Amino acid sequence: MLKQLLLVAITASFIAVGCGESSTGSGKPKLVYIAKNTGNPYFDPLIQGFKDAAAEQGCEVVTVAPATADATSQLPLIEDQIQQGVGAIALSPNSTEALNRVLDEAMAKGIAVITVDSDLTNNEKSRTVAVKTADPQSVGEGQIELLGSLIGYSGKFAILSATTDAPNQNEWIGIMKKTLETNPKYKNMQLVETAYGNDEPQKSLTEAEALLTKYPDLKGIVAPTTVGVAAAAQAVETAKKADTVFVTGLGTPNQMRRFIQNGTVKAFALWSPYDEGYLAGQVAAQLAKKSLTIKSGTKIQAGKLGEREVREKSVIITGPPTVFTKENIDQFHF
Amino acid sequence: MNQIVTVILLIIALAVGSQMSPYFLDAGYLLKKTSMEVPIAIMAIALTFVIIGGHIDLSVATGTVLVSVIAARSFDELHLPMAMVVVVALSCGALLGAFNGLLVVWLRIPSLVATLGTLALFRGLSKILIEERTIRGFPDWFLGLHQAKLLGTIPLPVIVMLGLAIIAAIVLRFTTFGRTVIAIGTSEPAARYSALPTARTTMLLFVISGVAMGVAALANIAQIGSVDYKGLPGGELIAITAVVLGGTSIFGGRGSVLGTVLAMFLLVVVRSALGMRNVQVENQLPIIGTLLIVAVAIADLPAKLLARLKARRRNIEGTGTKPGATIHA
Repeated sequence: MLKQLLLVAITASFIAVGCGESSTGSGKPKLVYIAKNTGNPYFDPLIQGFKDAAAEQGCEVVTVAPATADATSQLPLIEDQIQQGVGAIALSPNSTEALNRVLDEAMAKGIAVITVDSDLTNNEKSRTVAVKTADPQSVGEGQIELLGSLIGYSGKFAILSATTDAPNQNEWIGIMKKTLETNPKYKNMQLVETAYGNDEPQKSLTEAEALLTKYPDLKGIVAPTTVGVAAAAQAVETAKKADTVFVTGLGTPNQMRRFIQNGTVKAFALWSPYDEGYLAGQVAAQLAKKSLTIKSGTKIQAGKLGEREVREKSVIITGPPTVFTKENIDQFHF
Repeated sequence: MNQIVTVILLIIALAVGSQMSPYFLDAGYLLKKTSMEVPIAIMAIALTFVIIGGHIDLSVATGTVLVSVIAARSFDELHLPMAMVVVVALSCGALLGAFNGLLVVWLRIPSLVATLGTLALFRGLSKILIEERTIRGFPDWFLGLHQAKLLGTIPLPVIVMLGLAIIAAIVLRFTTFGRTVIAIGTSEPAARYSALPTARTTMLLFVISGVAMGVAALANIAQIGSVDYKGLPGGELIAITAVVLGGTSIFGGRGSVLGTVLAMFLLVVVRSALGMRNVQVENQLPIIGTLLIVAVAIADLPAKLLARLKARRRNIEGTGTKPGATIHA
């Protein structure tokens, strides 16, 4: 009897734990960032950037995320934020389709909706603006310039890509080839082969090793995919060719740290998730404060990143990728 | 009797929730959050029958996904009109349920094991049938069903859920089938020796669960407008939680549809209140887990109190019964 009454008391107090402080309206605009899912290290620097920008703009920030990245898991979270009357909802959507209605509802209530990293492709009208990583042009050109600077703008090189139909990689490779043809700075660089490792570590490694065997005078491998660049570095390290073959591409600092530290790779690139989050935070804060309207060509003052322009389909690009070297890699943990 | 605990917890949760956030107590918002959980609630209503009948169906959520995938493909590739897709979904659901029923009744595999198998099987078949694709483009009138509101406030899915719950409650209480389910759940051998149609009734239990998958699949498609194989992760666990939280005995024999519906509301209220305070989904789990354990632990409290009171009175009247001796009512 006593035991059971005690249980009731425990439940009541357990539920009551949540009411410690009741939420007070501080008058500051409220922003929320909803990541794809919890426990995804890619979003940690992004969230930090978002928070820093919001703090600079004097806004309150909340970050929430669903446990899983399935299509509907963000729905109730968005609904809860609408109900709380936030000024702006920034999110990395898990679906280009399933969230539209609830986002339309948010926008109808005057809440700004900012997609970060992933966009609502073909459903762009369900968000106010999209903040994206880097534009394909700067990625493609940046890869060629990075490789050129490593091999002295002359010599044979190969590309190690993901799958033959990977849309991002194919777009970048197209721009890389065009840059080689049109810019005289790169006229002495010769692309000998594009290999595909299917973004599988083992297949990528085999392809990279094949390239080293086939072209003994190869000077560089550029892999615009995180799996490929790590595999190429592995192949060069195993073949002890780090002095003659330069590997670069797009990789994450955590994946590439070992190769940078032991000298196998001199430099590689990737956009900065921190900057992306920071830019999204700046845009969200300014939209929540109604000090910004999104139109094609609008200039946005994005704090320490400087100025950014709104492009077609209301897209804002974070900027060219960051180049990671031995000097700066220890500042990045993702 | 047992749903009294659920009602009390629901009232406590509403009171606490309104203290936690000024935005919480808003009928429109809570109804909208409820309408999002309607697919799970429909599964839970059917599961109430299955569990009262002494069985379990772990495949409800993945079965719903499989039905969604088949319905989506028949719409997308066979270009069936949506009205036909509805028929396809309901029949497919019934077939999946019948398959579970055959495993349990005919092959005599315990339902826990049989449906643990089909839980994985249905998800796997969904993946094979749709691969990594997402099917979309359902007609507007169908997608509009999720947003339709009756009397300007109550979402259509919630009405459908309540309608199904009322029918289910009537079937359970006032039909021969309902009483047979309770008899089987209380003691299957006793039901069999009483010449009750145990095999047929058990089969029907799983078919009902299957038809519920069909309805849940349609509700789910109307809600999100797209279908892939990854939907409703862990949905079966939420549905079972609702059934047990609603006072239905996991051992079968007793329980109520009303309790299940109340428990669904309780879950929505608790999650919404925590969501208002931006509590992460994983951090909500210990609270929901504790709620379940406590609800089950105190479920018998009203009955026990009554029994104790009777016993005491009898004791005073001098019948010689020791207090507490007849607690087990």
